[in-house]
Amino acid sequence: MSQKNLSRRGFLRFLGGLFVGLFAIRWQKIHDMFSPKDTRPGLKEAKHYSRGNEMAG
Amino acid sequence: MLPIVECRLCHHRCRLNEGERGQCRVRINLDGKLYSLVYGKPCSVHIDPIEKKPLYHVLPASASFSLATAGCNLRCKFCQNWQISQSPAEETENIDLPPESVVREALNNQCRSIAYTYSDPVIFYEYMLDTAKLAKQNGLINIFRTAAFIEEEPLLELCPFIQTASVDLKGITEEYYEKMCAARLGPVLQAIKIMHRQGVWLELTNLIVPTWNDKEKDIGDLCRWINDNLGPDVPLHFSRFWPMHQLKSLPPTPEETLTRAREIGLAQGLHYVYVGNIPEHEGNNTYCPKDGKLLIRRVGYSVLENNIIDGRCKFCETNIPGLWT
Repeated sequence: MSQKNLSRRGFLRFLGGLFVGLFAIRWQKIHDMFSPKDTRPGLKEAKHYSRGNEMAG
Repeated sequence: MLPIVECRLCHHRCRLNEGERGQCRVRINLDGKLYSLVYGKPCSVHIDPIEKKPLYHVLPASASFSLATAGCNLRCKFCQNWQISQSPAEETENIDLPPESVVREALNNQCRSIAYTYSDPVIFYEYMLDTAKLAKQNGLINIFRTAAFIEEEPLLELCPFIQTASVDLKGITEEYYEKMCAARLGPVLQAIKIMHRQGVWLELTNLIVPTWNDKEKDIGDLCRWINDNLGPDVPLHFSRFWPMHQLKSLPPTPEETLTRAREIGLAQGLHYVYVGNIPEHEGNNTYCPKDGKLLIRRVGYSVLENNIIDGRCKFCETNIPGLWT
């Protein structure tokens, strides 16, 4: 194979690798955009309240 | 039948049937017990310059780890954070950040304080209290950024753990608080006095809204109340209103109004009266109340010059109150 063909093949491989890498980054960002956020409530019993017949008035 | 619960965190004293939420939107009656829905689930987390709180007499030029959850117990028509304050937690993007993680992140990011802010931390009381205890153990300053619409008992429990509070004193009439904020002035004034008596370092902020609370009489009454009840050394920040939320039809506060408000405050005997949201205004700076020398020069949130040494004026050695180190 000629030197010119080897250089062209190497350059095409470099471009291919670059596109794959860029796509992987973009996919990760898209995935993060639509990943579910933390929708679980932060449940903790409150302080400073009263119940039922403990209430005045 | 499951019992009704009555929340006693703030003066709304919401009485809730099973499944009902309080006015703050983030406290709920479940199986006859009251729960917070936002413990460890902030929707806003930032590192801010401490001057943004605004706090001008606390650790100048330091970074503050700042956070908030959804919800609020007020309904201010001018709220600049309404997207989170007037929303339940289901409508905000929250992250999982328990108290120990807050402290760890603050320390890892070289922050010297944690600010409970943006919405109103009264409504995430339990989260704030637990975080503040850990923060204090780890040498961090706790900043309570609040409208101070909170009952005495929870406030007294909180005070030992908060070294400083940046408090919105939104107006000086009950009518203003009712119509603008759906709250009451009396409890706010009481809470401010409690914090002052408990030794919490206070800085007050008054947002001047054109046609609502911009009369010279109202500003004078507010300054007089501060001087009579707290003394001349409590800093007062007059802040500029920008059209927002339910008041988009109003113009921004004129610069002359803020300048005049500062003059009124100084004439009433207050030592430290500031103007916020106007870059290059002399009201951004701190001056010695005795010799008038420039102590701290600020542009925006940046400190360009600091002539306070060991809490004293460099020139005449007058004590300048605050938390300087």
